[in-house]
Amino acid sequence: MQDNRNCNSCEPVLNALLKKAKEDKVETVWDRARAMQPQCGFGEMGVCCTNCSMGPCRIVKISPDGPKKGICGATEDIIAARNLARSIAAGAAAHSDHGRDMAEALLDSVEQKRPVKDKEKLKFLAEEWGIETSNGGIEELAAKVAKTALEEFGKPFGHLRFIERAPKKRKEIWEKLNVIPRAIDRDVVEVLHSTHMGCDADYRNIMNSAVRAALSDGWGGSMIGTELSDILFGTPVPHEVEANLGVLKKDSVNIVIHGHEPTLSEAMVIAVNDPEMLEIAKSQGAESINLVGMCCTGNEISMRHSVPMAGNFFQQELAIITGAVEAMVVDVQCIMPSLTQVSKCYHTKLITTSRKAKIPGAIHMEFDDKKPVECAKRIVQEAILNFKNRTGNILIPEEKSKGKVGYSLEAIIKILDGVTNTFAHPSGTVKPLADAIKSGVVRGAAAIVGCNNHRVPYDECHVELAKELIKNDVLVVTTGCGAHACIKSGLMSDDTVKLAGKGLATACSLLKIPPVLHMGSCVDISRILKLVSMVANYMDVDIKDLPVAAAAPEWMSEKALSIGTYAVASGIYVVLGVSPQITGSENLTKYLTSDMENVYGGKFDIEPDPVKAARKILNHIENKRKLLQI
Amino acid sequence: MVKISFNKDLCMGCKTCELACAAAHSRVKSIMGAIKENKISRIRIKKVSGKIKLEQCMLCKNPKCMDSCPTKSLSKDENGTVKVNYLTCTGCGLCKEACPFGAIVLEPFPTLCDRCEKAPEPLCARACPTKALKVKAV
Repeated sequence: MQDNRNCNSCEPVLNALLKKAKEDKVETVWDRARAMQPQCGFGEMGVCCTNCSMGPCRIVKISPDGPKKGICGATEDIIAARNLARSIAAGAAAHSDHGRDMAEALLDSVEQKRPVKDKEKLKFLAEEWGIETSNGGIEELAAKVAKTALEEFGKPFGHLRFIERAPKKRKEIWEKLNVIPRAIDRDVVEVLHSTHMGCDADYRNIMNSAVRAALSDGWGGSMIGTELSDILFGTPVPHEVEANLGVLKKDSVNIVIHGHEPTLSEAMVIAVNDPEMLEIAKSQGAESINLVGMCCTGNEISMRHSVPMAGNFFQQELAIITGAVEAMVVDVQCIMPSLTQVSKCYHTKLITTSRKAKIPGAIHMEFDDKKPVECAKRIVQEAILNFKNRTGNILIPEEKSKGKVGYSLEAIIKILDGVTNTFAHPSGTVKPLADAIKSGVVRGAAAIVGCNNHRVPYDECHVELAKELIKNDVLVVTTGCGAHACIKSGLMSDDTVKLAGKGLATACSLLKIPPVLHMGSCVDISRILKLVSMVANYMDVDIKDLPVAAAAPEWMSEKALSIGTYAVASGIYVVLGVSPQITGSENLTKYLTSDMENVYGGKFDIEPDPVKAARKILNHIENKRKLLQI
Repeated sequence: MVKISFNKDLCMGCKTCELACAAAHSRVKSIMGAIKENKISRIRIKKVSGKIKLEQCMLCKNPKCMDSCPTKSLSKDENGTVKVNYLTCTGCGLCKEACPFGAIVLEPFPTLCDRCEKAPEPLCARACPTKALKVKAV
């Protein structure tokens, strides 16, 4: 737990609202983290096993006469690997279930004759999957694509279709190691099976199962989530949005939408723009309805509708503490159960909408995919009617920043098309990007993703790392809570090129992009996978040969573990700012941080200091450049 | 007099000692019993400015808690532990403030480590998985 925060953008917001929290006697995540100290070392090292009721067992490494095996005989390697694999499977399950919901939403939209937004993308995907596109209408095609996507979760034979997007050399590595995911649900189930008591006892084999489940997330569930969301709700295009808690408005009904799946948030966007709703709001004395997004839902709707981004994971309680939020509407993932306690201290209504995530003390208004807008309108009305209950105890921070978001893969390629020679080169390729990297103008690219974690300074790790990388001519792409951190600190505005190295600054000015690109929510890391695959294919190399890296400086969730694992298994060097719970097993730690490189070409590294992490990434990029002889 | 030594380098912060203590002072001698009976632990593992710290009665030679008690409700037992007279104690908390080790918690009367006098050995030390807590009979 660290208290020193130097992030200029977040610090005033944080300090003001934490002071208010203290005055209002509201407990926040930072208070609970402090109260939790010391945190149990056994859990921290991953050597506590509760997989059967002979346990709990723990491996005592620190004293010579402590038990070195669980009651069943499981060693520290087995216990740590099983625990990690189960976390990865849970992360993959969360992302993939999000993907499944998107497929079901696509099917529902066909049934209710709601048109899809991106017909081109639908056709491309149908062609990619070998679905006949010539006969039948768009609805029929959408239904076929949705059904095919749903089959990916439980098909009994074959392997995932999106695996074909990976470079040939990558597929060969996966084939050799037998980690090609077959069906998403099956690979998650297999991890749960093989980590059951008395099953897999080889930590390397356990990790192989975990890698398969993780790949079924990145090249499966997440990719389905991203592609189908784009088809349903439109593929994002670059535009400017506002970010940070200053986007809340004093005289409007403020609704914060928080969670992950864009189905709910898209309906909310329609509902708040309904004239009828606006009229009710005005009758209640409010000027307008102000919808703002938080966490990955915030990313999704800011990418597609310029809805302001209220903040990331650690800001969810602070949003309510402002006293100006009429309703916080949540669906799934990363929603702190503490929100009910915080909202009880103010007039804010916490509204849960998913049957997968109910919170005692919250109002549950289940979201029905079959009647999305009606559901959203009911929720908005509930928020509006709460406006009159607002008290005078309000503090809306003034801080807000502007930045450009909406860099989907399609948008990036369109931008790159702008600098290709129309006569000599085909459009729709990543040639200009590959050329810039080859020539050394841009040294490489790094993805900064992940959450917030009390173990490292809040937001600062994302921001400092991004600054250090762009200073050294490395293009940064971000998603998730890392993207929130970057936009809040102004790293996505046009004048950020001042902070970039000369080469990167020139390239960015030419393309009119910021040096830190917002690519979406956490499932949208699949966009980054597709981008690196395209660059690798264009340069006729494997992903592991590219001068690219990834970092999760403040990660905390199981989803982040799954992301890290599929990135490493895809050949990417991943620097984690917080150590996973594996340090109790030297063998497993060595496997993840070194041996994996010999097998997959990517590996994990652990470095909490953002400047040192940047140094490691830069060294890695320069090494790869040398090997490529560019 | 039973002294307990604490090696903070061995402590993993798992707080098994706290659970064992609460269980030992419950009627049914179990963690569930302790939770039901609202029994609190008389030993606490804390982290103060990044360092692990133990809060437990140190059996001082001249206990400050006893000196500070306005009703003289605290007395030293023959085995060195400090006992509370619940008939006269008012729960004012001056003893808690006087203790330099933060060993006293009011619930509402002061709770102090009794070195598990009814058990063969202090159960916190017996429960410690890393032997960071060790019994030293003096």
